[in-house]
Amino acid sequence: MENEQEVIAYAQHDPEAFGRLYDKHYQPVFGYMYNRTGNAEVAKDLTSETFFQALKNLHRYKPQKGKKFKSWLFAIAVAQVGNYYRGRSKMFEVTTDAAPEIVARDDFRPDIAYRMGEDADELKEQVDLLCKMMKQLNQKQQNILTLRYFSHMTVPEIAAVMKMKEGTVKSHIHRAIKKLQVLMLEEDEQKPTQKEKKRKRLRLPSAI
Amino acid sequence: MTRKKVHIEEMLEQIGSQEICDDNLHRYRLRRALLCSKYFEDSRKKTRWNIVFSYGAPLLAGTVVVGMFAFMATSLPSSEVTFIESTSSEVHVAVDADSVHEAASVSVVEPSLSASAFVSNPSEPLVQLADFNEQTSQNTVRFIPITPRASALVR
Repeated sequence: MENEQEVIAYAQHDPEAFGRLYDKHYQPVFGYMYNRTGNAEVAKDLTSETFFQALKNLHRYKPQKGKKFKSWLFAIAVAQVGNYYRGRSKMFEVTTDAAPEIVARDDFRPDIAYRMGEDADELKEQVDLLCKMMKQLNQKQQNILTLRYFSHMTVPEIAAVMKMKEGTVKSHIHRAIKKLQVLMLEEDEQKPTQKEKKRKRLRLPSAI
Repeated sequence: MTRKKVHIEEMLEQIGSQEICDDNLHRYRLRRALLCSKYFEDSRKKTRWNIVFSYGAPLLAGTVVVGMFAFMATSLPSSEVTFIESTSSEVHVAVDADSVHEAASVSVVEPSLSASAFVSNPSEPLVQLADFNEQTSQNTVRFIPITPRASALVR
């Protein structure tokens, strides 16, 4: 591929060059938005807003060593997600239990169970729990984990996106995972597992 | 605990490894909206002018060349213009043998640019030129109105 810096320089005036940047980065940005919000329609809106902001402020982008265009674009995306959650906190919240039809996402992928060699039901439960627990992390930790594990960004790239030092990013990841473990353990202790539920269901008729 | 930590990281990586299907329609619409946005207005103007110049320039150049040729043709001095010298030709007119008794033999001498052609031959008899001033009769047509009222209107 051509030198990205040249494409970016042209992209400020040339729609074709900007189109090339868009084609390259649409999917990662949309994927990040989808993973952060869990709603396809919201992800579309935020992706649109991110690219419009990028186009508007493209002249401000100064290529620096170790600071890629992708990091700059994702910094805008992170800001958009922050704006969305700040705006949403002022709105009336409808829980998914009250309105299950608004949930546009199915987090469970059966192929993961196959790959990890675990019971599909148990893994589904764990994935659901993990996603639920991730929402209990603070916004910064959620952003960092999403960028690291879902957008497959390296620590230096995340550091550039979040405007942090690499060491800080690493410690955030470490703390976030630790917190997730604690939360999942607590949840595991509180809730009976799927297997236990099954066992209970099987035992009930015999007891009667 | 370490096993659990590895397990969580593995689970996160596995979840993240699944490709998220994007909406192609949204992708296309957003692309179109971005590339047609006002931020590229200058670029569009430039493109338009480029098209105008790319098509207009040859047309303009052609017009200029044709104009120059026309101008040169009209502004050339007469001395530079060369005429093709034509020879005298005889015209024989014989329509009807009964009605025409004499066969007219007319020799038309084409004018030539040679100076000797303009010099009169002194040996030739002088031809008296017709004087039109003597027999000038001016026939003026006057329209006299029939009614006196019309005549007043005419005046």
